[in-house]
Amino acid sequence: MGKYILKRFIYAVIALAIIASVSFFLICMKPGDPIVAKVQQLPDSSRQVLIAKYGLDQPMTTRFVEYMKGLIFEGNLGDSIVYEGRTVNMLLKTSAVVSAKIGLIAIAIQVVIGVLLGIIQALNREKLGDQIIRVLVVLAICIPTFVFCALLQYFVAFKWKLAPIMGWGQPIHYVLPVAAYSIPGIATYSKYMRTSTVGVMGEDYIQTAIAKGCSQRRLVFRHILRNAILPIVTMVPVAVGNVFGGSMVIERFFSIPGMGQHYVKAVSDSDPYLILGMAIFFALMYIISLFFVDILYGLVDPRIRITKNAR
Amino acid sequence: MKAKKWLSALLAAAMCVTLLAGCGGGGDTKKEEGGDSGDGGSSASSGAQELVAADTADVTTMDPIQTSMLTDQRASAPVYEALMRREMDENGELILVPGAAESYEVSDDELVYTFHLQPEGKFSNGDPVTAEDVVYSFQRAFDPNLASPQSWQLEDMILNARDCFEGNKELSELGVKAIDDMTVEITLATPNPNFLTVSTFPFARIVSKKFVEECGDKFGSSADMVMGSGPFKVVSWEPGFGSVYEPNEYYWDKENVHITKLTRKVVTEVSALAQSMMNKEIDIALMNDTDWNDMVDQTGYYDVKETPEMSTYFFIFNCENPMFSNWKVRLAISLAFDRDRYVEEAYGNKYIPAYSFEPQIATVGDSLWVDVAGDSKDYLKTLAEKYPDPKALLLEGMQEAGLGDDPSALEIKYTTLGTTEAVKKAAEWMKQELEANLGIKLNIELTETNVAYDQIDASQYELAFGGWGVDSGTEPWRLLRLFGKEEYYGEAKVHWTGEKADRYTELVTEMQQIFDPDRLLELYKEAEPLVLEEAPVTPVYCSKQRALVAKNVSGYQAHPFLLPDYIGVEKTAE
Repeated sequence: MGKYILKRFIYAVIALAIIASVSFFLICMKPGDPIVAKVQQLPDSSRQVLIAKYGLDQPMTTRFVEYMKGLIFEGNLGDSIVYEGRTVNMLLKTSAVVSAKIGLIAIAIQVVIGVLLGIIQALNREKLGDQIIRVLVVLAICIPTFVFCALLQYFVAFKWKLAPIMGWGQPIHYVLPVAAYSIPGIATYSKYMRTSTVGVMGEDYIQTAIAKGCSQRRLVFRHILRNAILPIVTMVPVAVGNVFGGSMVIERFFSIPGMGQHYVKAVSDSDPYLILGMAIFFALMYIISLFFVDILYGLVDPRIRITKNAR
Repeated sequence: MKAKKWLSALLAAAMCVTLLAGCGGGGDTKKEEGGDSGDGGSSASSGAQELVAADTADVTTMDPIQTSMLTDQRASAPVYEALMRREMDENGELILVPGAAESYEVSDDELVYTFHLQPEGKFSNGDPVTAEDVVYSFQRAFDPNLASPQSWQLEDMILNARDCFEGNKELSELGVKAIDDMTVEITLATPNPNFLTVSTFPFARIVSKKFVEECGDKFGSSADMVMGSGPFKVVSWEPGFGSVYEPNEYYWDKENVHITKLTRKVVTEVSALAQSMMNKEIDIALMNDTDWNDMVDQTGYYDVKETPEMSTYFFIFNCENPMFSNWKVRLAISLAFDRDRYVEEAYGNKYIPAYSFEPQIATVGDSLWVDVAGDSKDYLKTLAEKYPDPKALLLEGMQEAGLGDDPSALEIKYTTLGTTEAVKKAAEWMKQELEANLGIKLNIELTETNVAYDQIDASQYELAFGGWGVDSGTEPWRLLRLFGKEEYYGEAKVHWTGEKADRYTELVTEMQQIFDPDRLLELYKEAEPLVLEEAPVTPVYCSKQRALVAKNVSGYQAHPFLLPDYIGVEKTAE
């Protein structure tokens, strides 16, 4: 197992190095002067000072070496050009926490409700309730998030005044964004859970348990849930890795100072180091989550571990 | 089986942790921000003198010399004070009133301004505002290493400012000197009646030398790195969310500061802004969105104040390109679309159609340009009467330029300024109109703003769109000068040459050197027709500011040139 984890770790580091390098060159080759994007009516002398300040006058390879040195030895993701005096690390520090708070609450809700719905559907397979939920699940997966945002904002906040239209800082501000974030996830998890539960319910050991006179409660929680939930277990770390990316749409709709909103601003303002820093951070989070998924897979299914080791 | 048990426990634990992490977080944030004012709907500003203002873009810096975007300037305005303040009198005219300086004298030769600082002037940490702080603030504005994006507006006014800014002279040689602790002397390069107005701009506002030196290059980047001598201080500031201000208890004129808490929210999504306004959660905002304007106005909660701004948007023809080498081709395009319909149909009247470069707010001496301009006012309409058939004019121009007589052979690349839906819609409107009226082909190239500027800089465009905004004054030369040979949209970018271009450059050069309104009017009246008929650039629309102020807020002065410092603003019972 140790060897397997080490191997996964090395792969993760290589993947991150490739992503960081490719992103650097792609973003630096993007047309458009970032200084002009920041301020258009700038005298040439001031523009030259800014270009030198951010090292934009250096050849791309020199900039790459300098950036990578800072990244590897100091964990420095560079300076934001648009946010004067702020480093990308500073912006990440505040905004990632905000995105994570919303995302993690939403994931917890998604998993709990999604799993329960899935089980209920499977236990009532092909009955009216199951049919209705299946239709709703398809709708929730297909409808884009901004539609939920707009509907929640209009009905819950504007019409019924149950929550603020937008804002951040108080527990009530979590309600609408978390709801908008949760709906598609609940649908996805319940869909997977239903399929997996139906599969498990057809297994011999479940029939044996029923034959033994096992109670319904014990059957569901001890025999069905523990086996059927395995696909969900491997989905959660990936979702957790993704929450740091925030949701651009949700954060914009509800004026939440998370990473998604900064990312949109960084791209529209052509702030190269902010885009790059965020891209690397997202990649890092995603790779870490995949690393955990790999390990979980290994734990869940020994065949994977053995096959890989055998190679 | 053991592994599965372990996994189930792990999953359960992870779920608990995520729930706890999320729930715990709410409390932390509240504490960090000193409590937000959102309360579930009804009215955000429930406290008697608590005011909520909204902006549609994020604040990127609160270092006064680095603020180039309007949002940054509006966010910094309550915190920093300049030597003088501008405000509106009862007639709506802008006047200068004491700011950090209690009074000033001007020498007989109008070159030396001596400012006497407010004896009670203090920064929000209680330190007195001294002449040394004022000198330091001006030196920062012209420090080449700090590259202030706006200081150029003063660089030709203050003695040695340009040399300092370009690194040719030491900052100690700048024409701003401390005579004693409370007296500052500013020496100008040449007499300039605009100096006092420009010296109220953000980049000339006063900072504490001690505080800025303590902050280093982090000054202005977060709430604890912001401090000034203005009426308010920043108590919290979160990028992407907004900032909260409280009164500066040491402010010299604190009797006129009535607001006890000011919250400035960043609301980038216009639907959220509009619905918040309809829910009366916001007291003051600049909002101009044709989909929502009427709905918000119908609440009757806000006074809507629309004022033209001193900014004009225009088409730019690359005269170097053989297609546009002949003025008749350029003028034909300029006359081939109806600006009124363009602004109405493509932008829902968000802008004001422009038939000359001067916005409605432009002035000559004490008069409005539109009142004294005579024939030069809306000169494009005069040209439309002179050349009633743009297509015939186009064919004439094409033949003169050796482009044949088939307009459909004229395939023009139109580089847009931005890629938003609104830009796309406007470009498509223009394509349809020009193709129908002239028979030419217009190929829209949706281009990011900074890429478009790069292409204009490198003359890699055919037909492009540009704009210029001025907040320093209302004289027409501030816009007309742009197309002089050496200026921003000069020969290097637009390639307008010939006798008329030379004459135009002479005219705009003279405009910038004199202050006599009669002579200025003569110059404007000669320059305007010249550039409009030659059409290297052609005005399309001017922008306007649309401020919504809740009816229970009094004393708020909405004017495109005023950055709100909330002095004198008060909330009354609804």
